[in-house]
Amino acid sequence: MTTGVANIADIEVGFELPSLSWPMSLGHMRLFSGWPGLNKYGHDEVNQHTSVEVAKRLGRPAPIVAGPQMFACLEEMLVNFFGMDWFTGGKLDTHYVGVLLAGDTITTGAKVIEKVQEGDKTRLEMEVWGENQRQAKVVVGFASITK
Amino acid sequence: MRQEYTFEDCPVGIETEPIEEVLSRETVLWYAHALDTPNDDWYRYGSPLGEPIVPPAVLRTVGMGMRTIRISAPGGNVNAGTAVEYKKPVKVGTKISARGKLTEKYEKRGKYYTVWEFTVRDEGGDEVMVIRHLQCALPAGQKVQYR
Repeated sequence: MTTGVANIADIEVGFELPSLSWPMSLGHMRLFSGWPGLNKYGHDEVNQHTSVEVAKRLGRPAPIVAGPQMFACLEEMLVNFFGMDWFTGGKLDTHYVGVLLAGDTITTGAKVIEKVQEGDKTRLEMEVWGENQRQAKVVVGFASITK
Repeated sequence: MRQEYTFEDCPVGIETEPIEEVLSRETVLWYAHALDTPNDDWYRYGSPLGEPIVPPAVLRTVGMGMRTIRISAPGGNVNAGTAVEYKKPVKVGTKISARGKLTEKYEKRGKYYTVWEFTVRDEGGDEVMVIRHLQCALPAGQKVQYR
């Protein structure tokens, strides 16, 4: 359930958002990267994220979780904490630094690193990350929210 | 609809085909299954706006019409990074439009990067999301980082 009860003005530097975890299954990957509605735009639902054969042909160890799917996990963590404010004042900027395979779990985290007053608004700057079950980072970046 | 280019031939400034898509309940439910998120209620049943809203991942995935332009890569393409500004929530059933373009390309350590920028708008013409996406075309035999 979305909490979305954060009052940005009350959050201080050093605060860590509640982390969330997602086990990644090939089924979830096939749903995320295989929506047939994108086919009309040139997308192939049989790709390195959904097909063992395609992944193998490209030299991947197995189908890999799409970067945007990992990004979605970070988004959902931020929506879960900040609620509707995220949709009007959020920014998220990441790089994908590793891959996840089916069977891996991603755990997302965020920590406030700066708090800035901009007139009558408050901006929080955060470091964000996603790591696998071996605590290896797979996605890293920064986020901010202004209200 | 998809155009394919080599990294060298793809011109900076090229625009993707415009996308128009109604984000139907069926589409949102498809992605809700994929996301498996604690914010699920907002996407399936109702949000503080009074109606279900579209997950940001759907706006990104559908809005990134970059699939209409493909950079050929012997080692396949991987997502290298994503940056998003969230401007406005979108209710289920809204028709969105999106257009993007290639703003930059560069080679780094034998890999070929392209930077794409997209703007997603609702049916009123308001910006709902601005996306910058970094794609990497891999040479043959390039391995991905699995830790």
